[in-house]
Amino acid sequence: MLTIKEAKKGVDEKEFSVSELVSHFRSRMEERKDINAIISSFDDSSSGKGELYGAVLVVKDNILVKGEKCTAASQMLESYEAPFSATVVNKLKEKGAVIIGKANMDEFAMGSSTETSFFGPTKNPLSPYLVPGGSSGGSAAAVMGGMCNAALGSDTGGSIRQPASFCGLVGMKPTYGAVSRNGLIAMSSSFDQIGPLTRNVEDAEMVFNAIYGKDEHDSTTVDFPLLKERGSRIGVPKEYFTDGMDKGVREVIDKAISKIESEVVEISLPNTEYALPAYYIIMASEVSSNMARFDGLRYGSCSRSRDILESYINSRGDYLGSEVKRRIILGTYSLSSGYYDAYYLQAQKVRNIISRDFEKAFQEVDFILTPTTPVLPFAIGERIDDPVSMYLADVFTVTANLAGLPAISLPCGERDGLSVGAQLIAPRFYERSLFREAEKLERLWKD
Amino acid sequence: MLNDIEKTVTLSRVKAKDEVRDVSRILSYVEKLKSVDTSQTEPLFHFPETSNSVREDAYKHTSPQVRKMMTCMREEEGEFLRVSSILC
Repeated sequence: MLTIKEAKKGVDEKEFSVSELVSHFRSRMEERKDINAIISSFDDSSSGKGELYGAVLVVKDNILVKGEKCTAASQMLESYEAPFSATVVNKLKEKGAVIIGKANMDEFAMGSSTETSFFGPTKNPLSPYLVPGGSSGGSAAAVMGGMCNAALGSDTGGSIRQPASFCGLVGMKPTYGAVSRNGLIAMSSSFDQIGPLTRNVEDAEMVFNAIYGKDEHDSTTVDFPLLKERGSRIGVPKEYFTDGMDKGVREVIDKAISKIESEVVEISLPNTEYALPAYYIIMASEVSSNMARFDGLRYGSCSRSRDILESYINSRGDYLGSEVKRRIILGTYSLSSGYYDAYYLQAQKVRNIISRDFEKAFQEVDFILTPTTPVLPFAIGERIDDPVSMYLADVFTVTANLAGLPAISLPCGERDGLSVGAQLIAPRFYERSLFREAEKLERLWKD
Repeated sequence: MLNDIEKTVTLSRVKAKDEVRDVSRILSYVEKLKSVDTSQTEPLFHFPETSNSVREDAYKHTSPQVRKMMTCMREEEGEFLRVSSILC
């Protein structure tokens, strides 16, 4: 189970070649077909040079790779072939990486367990009855299952960090605007970010370094500013330690925090309880807009009908899954005349209030530390019929998306053979400091 | 509320049945947002570092990938693409 750094060393020192690595990982995909982590796999060759020469990745199947199918795990795009590659894919390849597969995910990235995929659920490599988390569950399972040495996921409300926590990996969501979304099938455009899932923090930083940067094809990207390092004062928000948390998770997190040598203080993020409802309204509103393009005409599957209106209704009804439909309907409702002010506008104002809570907290502390998720990985089928209970798995991760902050999840301990993740959050564009501090915590928690 | 959600289903242009009841439950969960005093707050639509990105208003030839994307449309008649009847 090689890290990127180990693979790079092996390739540089001619112990093995990239094509041998690719063969090895593709055999591994065959062996572990039971996990159902991969939707499609293909060969790839390296440019032969660069910081990621030796890196073999899979990317979530909502990230376009030219010439390969890109399904977003939906029947709607079952046969869609990507006409161009995402900016992040081009950047990875320029740096010597190879991409050998498209990872399973919740349909259109809507879910927290990789159970809404048209291609069936992905299983957690740590235990086949449990979910790997979502929506980047396939990406996480592929790395943990030894099918690649790193993966790209996308994170809208926790979809990189939560599966990282459930699968014992490092998962990182960059600052909103740090990484281009060109070539990412849009879910919620003011929240989505692409980021790495890796075996350690060092690898996550290597992947981030390859993919970040201003892109003329994504006007929400910015020139990454050079900022000085932050100190090591860590704030633990009391609102993230509620009664609803799993006792086992709570004990592991408390123990991990007690080991931290630098200063740890209790802080308050007073509007935390409004984060999940605000997130769901804004996210669903943006989803309803982004999903309008799937009309059965331009691309994707189509249900032929006598007129265009029926064609839209039937195509979208037949080829989109229930969770996608729920969010489209919720979003359309929130944006409709008579409800826009009470739902969408109100949610965006609450978003501002939550963002300001973080700004205030970051004046007192350098980083904020929380559990990544309040629960251990749950059983496949346990929450799928209760949408609100599923949404609660994201309660600690959505705040970083609302405020556009960089956040990383890393393993901090184990309970009953399952990994527990802790989340570290920094102010916008403080990725360098975030990685430094995360590496320190990783060393501390390794035992 | 259920009536309004059903009207929304029509607006959403998506055939749905069981999802209506679920959406009603989700709306009940998010009701608590209304209790937050936002009278002195602006909405956060964009992050401060984002600025408008513009280019010259000049014609660029259609890239080959646009033609490729359009081949997903099922029926062509010369330069035109056939769709279902628009008048219902």
